Amino acid sequence: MAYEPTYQSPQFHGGDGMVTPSGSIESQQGRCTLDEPVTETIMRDLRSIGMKLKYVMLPRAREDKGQGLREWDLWGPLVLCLALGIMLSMHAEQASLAFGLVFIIVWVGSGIVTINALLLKGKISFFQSARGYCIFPLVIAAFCSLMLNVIWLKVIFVTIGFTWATGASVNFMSELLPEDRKALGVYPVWLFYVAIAWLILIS
Amino acid sequence: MALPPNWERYTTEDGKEYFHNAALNKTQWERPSCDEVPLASLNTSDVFTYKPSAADLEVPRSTAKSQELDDLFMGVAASEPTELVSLKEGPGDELSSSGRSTNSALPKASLPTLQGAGGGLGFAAGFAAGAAAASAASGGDGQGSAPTFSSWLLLLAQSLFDVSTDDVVRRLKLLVPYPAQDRSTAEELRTRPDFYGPFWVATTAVLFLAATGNFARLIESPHPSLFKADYSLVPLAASLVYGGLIAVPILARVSVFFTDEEVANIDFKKIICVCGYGLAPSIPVSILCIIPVGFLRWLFVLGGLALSLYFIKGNLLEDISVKVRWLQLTLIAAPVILQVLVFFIYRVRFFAGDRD
Repeated sequence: MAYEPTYQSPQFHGGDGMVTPSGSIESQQGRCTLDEPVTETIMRDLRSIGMKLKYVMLPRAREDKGQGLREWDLWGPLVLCLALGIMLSMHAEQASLAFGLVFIIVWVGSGIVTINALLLKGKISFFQSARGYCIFPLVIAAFCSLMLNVIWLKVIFVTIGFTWATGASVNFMSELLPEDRKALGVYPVWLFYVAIAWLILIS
Repeated sequence: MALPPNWERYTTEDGKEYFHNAALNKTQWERPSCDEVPLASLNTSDVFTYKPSAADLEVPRSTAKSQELDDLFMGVAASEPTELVSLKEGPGDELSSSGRSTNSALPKASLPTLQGAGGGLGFAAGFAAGAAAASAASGGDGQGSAPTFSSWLLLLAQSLFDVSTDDVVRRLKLLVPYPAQDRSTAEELRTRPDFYGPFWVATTAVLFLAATGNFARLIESPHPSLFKADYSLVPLAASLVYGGLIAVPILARVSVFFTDEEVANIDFKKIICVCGYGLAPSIPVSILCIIPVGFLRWLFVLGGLALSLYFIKGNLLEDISVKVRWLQLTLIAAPVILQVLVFFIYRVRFFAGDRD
């Protein structure tokens, strides 16, 4: 045909690699994001990461029951995972093995926990970044335990971090599972955080 | 404001907007109103707003494609209205929507065919049911472009995880011999093996074996700050446990290949299931083995091994009735050797220098 349409897609961002459901960007509908300055793109992503972190860290601020975590992105979890890996492998004898182990446990572990929920017929979407952000308390605990060398303080910090992270994740997960299987889906989440907490404690 | 399905908005060089419908091949200047939903096109909102009842399962394939998909995929979803509500949320989650459409997939009627099919690694019945369902999905429309293999796989995997918390707890209780054995659960384990138990018992075992090995070293080291964690215990435990769990059915399958025994006579799922649950005693044993007394550790390990073998004998070995003698021995020996190896290697390799 003769016309050349200028393709406009209200549902997808142009240039920043993030796919967000249309419900969350009503204010940006129709705007082409390729034209905006780079700083604005970065600031928007940073703000979004900050918002999610705040969401994870402050359970009381949660009015919308897990809605805020439905938009997914993988930058935050990647940064957290790298930070954790670096911190845990810094003083280790087998540094590369330690780092690799942290990476594998975090990413493969998250994947397996998600697949497990899917197979149990939970209503979960594969790219939930929830678990990625929920390790943030444990990352803080790892940082604190790196600074201090007193073993009892380490244990306390890790326990606090573990409880916090597990609490956030377990609530989120148990809402998505059918009634008679909640424990089956929640147990792997608990195991996942135990594994990470253990890694922090023995480093 | 979202456009109705199949409508796209374009702009001319002068900046005027016009709308084009790809399905009807219609172009117009006016914005289409949202109630112009064409019947012939299939889109996600059509599928998910349909609320079937059990009677609809018997309805023969009608002309509307959405009806066809719903019969197969919503199954007895009448009892799960909440699932329908949540599915409307995320238009951006392509993967999840194709996953979820197969979530409540199999109507309950066909589940027994999957689970009752003791047939070997072929999973023949599951394949047939899953392929039928999945090919109808791809016959649907763009949404069905998610590969049929993965939807078939999802259906199959879901059937293997079709247990409730109570089921798993009861199966784990089978490991403890003292109160009388729960015959009904044992029967259930035979006819409806699950993979949730074996997989998560194995994973927990890997973590606990590696963790307790390291804790034991921590306790034994002269000073906590001198302790260097041995991370290599994790890959070791993982290869031992996961490798063994995979090797046993493969070994069984290969052995069957060399005889003319019917593959369908051997239930490989059950072998994996029982071997997996049989590893469960290693978890409490590993916790107890933190105690740094050499012979006590041997005691615990042997006790755990005994529990494990007792469980396997009760649930797996009695059913093996094959004609060829050496095959029978292999099928009996393989799970036993797995358990023995796990417990022994744990005891010997994971603890460095304990006091006797």
